[in-house]
Amino acid sequence: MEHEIQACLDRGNPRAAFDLIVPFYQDRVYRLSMAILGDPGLAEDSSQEAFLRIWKGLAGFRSQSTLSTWIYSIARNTALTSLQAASGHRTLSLEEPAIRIAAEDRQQECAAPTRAGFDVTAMIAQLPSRYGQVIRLYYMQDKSYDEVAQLLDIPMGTVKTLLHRARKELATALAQSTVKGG
Amino acid sequence: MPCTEFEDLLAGYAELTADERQRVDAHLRACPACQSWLEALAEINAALTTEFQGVHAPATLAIAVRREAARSLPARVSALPEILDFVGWLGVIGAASLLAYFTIPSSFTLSPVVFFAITGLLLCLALSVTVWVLRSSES
Repeated sequence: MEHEIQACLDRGNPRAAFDLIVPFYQDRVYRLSMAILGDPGLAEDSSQEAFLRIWKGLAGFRSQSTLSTWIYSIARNTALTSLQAASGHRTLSLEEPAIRIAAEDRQQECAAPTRAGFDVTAMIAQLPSRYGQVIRLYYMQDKSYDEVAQLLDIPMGTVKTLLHRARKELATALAQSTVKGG
Repeated sequence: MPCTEFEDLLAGYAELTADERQRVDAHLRACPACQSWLEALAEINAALTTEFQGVHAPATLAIAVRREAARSLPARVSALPEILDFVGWLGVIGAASLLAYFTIPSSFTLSPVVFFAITGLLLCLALSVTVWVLRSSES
């Protein structure tokens, strides 16, 4: 499909190219937005904005990168901008010690789920944002490390590491809820 | 909490080698904490699969995108590459004409009128091809 889209662009027909791009990429763009934002409504708005940016930039696309890389980059940046706007503050880095300690403290303060009926979405929201993005996208993309790496533009090794850590934290939180009274 | 030594192995249980699996299973038989943690992992995996598998873009997304794209300015194709091509061909034709004018032996020299007519025809041909390419790209 990417070849067909590129052929339309080579013929100087971005309209035809865009008509192929939307149905082919909408699921991946939406899932990427959903992984970053964690909310279906915000993800849909972000995806719509991303496709409009793609439409406006399509005529100027000159194959500096592959088409899919370019599309995913726009989708990712649009979602991250929406995330910053939704959170209302600057992007925080977990490498800052004070932020990491605060994030870990917050995690512990939140009520632990009962074992019987836990809300995995709420539990993911307690994780560091990077873990949440990777784990959501991994399960949405049928557990493909390769797809997750491509969509988030991170090495596959990093995907595996983040997923590993995310699962451990979720399992620990759930196992501790049994000890506390689930 | 699981035993530190087995934490990573338990988290990657599905991908363990046969030897690793044997070692972990032997430990699980004697360690309720690790057993509980592995069960929690399995529950998490099942919950995540249920929650996130089969997520698709809503049908309203494509509709909204097409509506908004129709409202915004159409993506314009830059004519610069075609214009540069035409200028390039002008240069080639001009250089070929000058070369012909000064190098062809006098007995074969065409009259200036015929010479400039041929050069003009070649320029018109280059211009026509450029216009045709530009019009094709707009369709």
